[in-house]
Amino acid sequence: MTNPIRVVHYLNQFFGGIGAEEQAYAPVQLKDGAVGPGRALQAALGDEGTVVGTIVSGDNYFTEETESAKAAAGELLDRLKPDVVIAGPAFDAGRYGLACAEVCRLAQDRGVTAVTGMFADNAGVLTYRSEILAVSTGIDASEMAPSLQKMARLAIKVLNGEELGPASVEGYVPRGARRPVAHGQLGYERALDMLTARIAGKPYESEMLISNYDIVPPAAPISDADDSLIALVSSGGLVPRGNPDRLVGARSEHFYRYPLDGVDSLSVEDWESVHGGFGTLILNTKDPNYAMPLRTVRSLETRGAIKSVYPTFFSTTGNGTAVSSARRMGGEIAAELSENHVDGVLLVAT
Amino acid sequence: MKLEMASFPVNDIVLGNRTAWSDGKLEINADELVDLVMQDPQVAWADIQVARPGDSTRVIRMRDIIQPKVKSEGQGTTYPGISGRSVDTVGQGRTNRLTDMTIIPCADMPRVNADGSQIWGAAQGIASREINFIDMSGPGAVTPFAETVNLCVVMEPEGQPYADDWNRVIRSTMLKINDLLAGATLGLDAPQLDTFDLDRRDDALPNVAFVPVLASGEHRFGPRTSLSTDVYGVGRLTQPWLLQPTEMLDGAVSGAYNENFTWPIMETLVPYMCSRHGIDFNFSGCIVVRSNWESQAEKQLMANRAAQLAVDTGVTGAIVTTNVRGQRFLETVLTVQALERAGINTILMTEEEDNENGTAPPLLVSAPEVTTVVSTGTGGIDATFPAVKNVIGAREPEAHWFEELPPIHGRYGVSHTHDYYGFGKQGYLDY
Amino acid sequence: MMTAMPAIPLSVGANRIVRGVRVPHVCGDPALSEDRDRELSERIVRTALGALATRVTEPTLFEPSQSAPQAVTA
Repeated sequence: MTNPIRVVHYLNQFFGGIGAEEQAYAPVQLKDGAVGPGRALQAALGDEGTVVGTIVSGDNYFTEETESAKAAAGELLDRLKPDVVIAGPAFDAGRYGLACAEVCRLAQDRGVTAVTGMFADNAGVLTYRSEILAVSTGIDASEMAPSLQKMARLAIKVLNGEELGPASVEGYVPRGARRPVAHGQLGYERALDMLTARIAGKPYESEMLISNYDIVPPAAPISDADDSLIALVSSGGLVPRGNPDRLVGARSEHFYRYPLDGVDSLSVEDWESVHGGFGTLILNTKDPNYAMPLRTVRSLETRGAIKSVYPTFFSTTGNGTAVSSARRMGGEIAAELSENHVDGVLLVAT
Repeated sequence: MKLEMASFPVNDIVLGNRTAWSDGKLEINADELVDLVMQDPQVAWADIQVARPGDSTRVIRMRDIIQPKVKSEGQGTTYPGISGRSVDTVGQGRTNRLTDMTIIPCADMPRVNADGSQIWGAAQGIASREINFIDMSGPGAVTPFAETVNLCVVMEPEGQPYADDWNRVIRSTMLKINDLLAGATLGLDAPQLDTFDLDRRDDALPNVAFVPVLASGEHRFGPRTSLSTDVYGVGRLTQPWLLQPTEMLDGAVSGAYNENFTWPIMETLVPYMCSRHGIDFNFSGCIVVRSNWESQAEKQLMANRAAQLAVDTGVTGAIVTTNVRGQRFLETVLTVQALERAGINTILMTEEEDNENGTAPPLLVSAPEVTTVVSTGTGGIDATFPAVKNVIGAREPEAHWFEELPPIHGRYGVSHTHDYYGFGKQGYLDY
Repeated sequence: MMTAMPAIPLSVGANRIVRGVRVPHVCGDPALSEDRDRELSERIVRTALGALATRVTEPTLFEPSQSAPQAVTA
């Protein structure tokens, strides 16, 4: 029989037996063997593994003194040399979940398999979704033993190099990747089964976790519009007639710069839209300014509503653009505007 | 409504001297069919070819795909309202259909219309037709059309018509062939007769609706264009339509929107739901929502009206589907949201966006009410499409169509399967 | 962000969003007379400039209107 794997367990101050909320600032410390719920973990591991130590820390300590906490926990991991780290489960406790996530990352940095457990909406997941492997739990600590069982099983699977199946099958919180699968039933059969189950109040499993885009903190407001330098950007596919740079009508990976010096308005003779996602007849035969209101902005500039217009117009096509391309293009444009002390941007999307 | 569906299976199409169906074989007179097509002076050249399952054949330049069917009893005509056909309400009486086969008109599409509007893909850089074809064998033979005997009508126009005009010729040709072929079954005993009696309801079962969101071509080509999916021949942007499911079985909703064809709209989810009527639920109706409205207020209004129709119909569950991604997907999300807010259990079935290695969300836009989703994947195909012996769809297909074609990475605007109604087993799951 | 479909940038997380007219003509309306169209365009652009000068904490929709631009949180 092979040697039992060495497992280190991470618990917060409450489950680690130090105290309740009043001990939330307890520093990182080590207890010997399995502690509290760790005993259920040991039972789940059976002969396959031994909980050699339990790292305990206060939730507030870990989330507020993160650098010190990580240093201390890291040192303990280096000393204990575990094969597997099990953190939590944290259920829906957000600070605990974040701490568990950090501990898992520390372990993974050291090449150690790490598994945690928490509720799908826990802050630990929302912050570190793609970096941790978390068993999906409910919000109730009464699930402790079965959760630890799932965590142990998953950890051994990963340690053995086994490939994990889909999140819904293996019971972990989705990590952000989506992959093709071959179902046993046709799509419309699955849809009707899901519908009838839902109506009957029976369990069902959606095939998609709706994840949100990144949160972008808003920029501070312009203090004085009259004194502002404004840049113009459009994803309406506007290009000089003839499309000299060959801007594509969809899935663009590039934006192009066009000079606005001495240009007071976009004319139908000089401009066109190559956007492939809507009818561009009005822009191309009546007025391109509808997709980039240069005429109006210039008029406002003359009347002092803004100080001036940035002399370069940034143009791309917003039609099925890959999110990563959009991020990159936005970053590049922002970098130039920032260097040139532009105060604000008008971005027209069609 | 109650509809009897008489099915005549077609295991093979054989060339002969007449048009006749007998015991699973459809005999056709290819010359007669070509003559019929050439009756229209706007057609300069036509050819009839058959693509069979398992053939080393690739079909290209499909303009639509339909199952041949005609009314044998009851009012109206199948595929009503298009090409001057009657707009009488269908879905009752009896319909004869040739199953396991399709009619596929194949032709190149002109780029412009008389008013200067350009068709999809005409804008530089988009080569959507390069990923739209049907392989009849090999690892890429994954669509339902790899399993049907496909009668391909390859056509070339006289002169240089506008896109809309040529599209009308294609449609009317397709329907002439439909009427001729399906008409050959009139008076014959059907090997299979199914009765869809949707008037009979079981009060113990829940009422459910099918809510397809279908793009209209009006925003691009005007209200009267034929380049749209139609309801009784009307493709323009309208408020939602409430149809009986049997009306859809008779082709009340038909017409290609770019590469989104007729067949999947009516031959997949709808017959399946009809077959479960009285067993798992009462199939109360189909609410057709038009998309491609140009302002958010309009999109919201249509979603609200769709939900109201669902409430008025007394359903407690709905399946919402979509077609074509992009900003018109917003109608779909708003419809799901409105239905859920009205207290109706709603399933969304859709293709999804490219995951971009875990950095991009699966839907362009979403809402908290979109909780229950069936995904039919990104539309991509992981395998290489092998070289083929035959290419059907052009008088002289370009050489590259015969060669090996690379795998297709599914993403917005790049879907090979176009599986919006769940006809396949492919999907995506979270990892 | 000036758009006829505010729900999309609201979902994506753009912070300052101004509602435009319609997809093919976001910053105006060809159905109006030239004078009214120019007025509308100015109203939309002024709303956008006003939005730039407004503090926001999350995705916020600004509606061009007859009076001064008002922020409406989605």
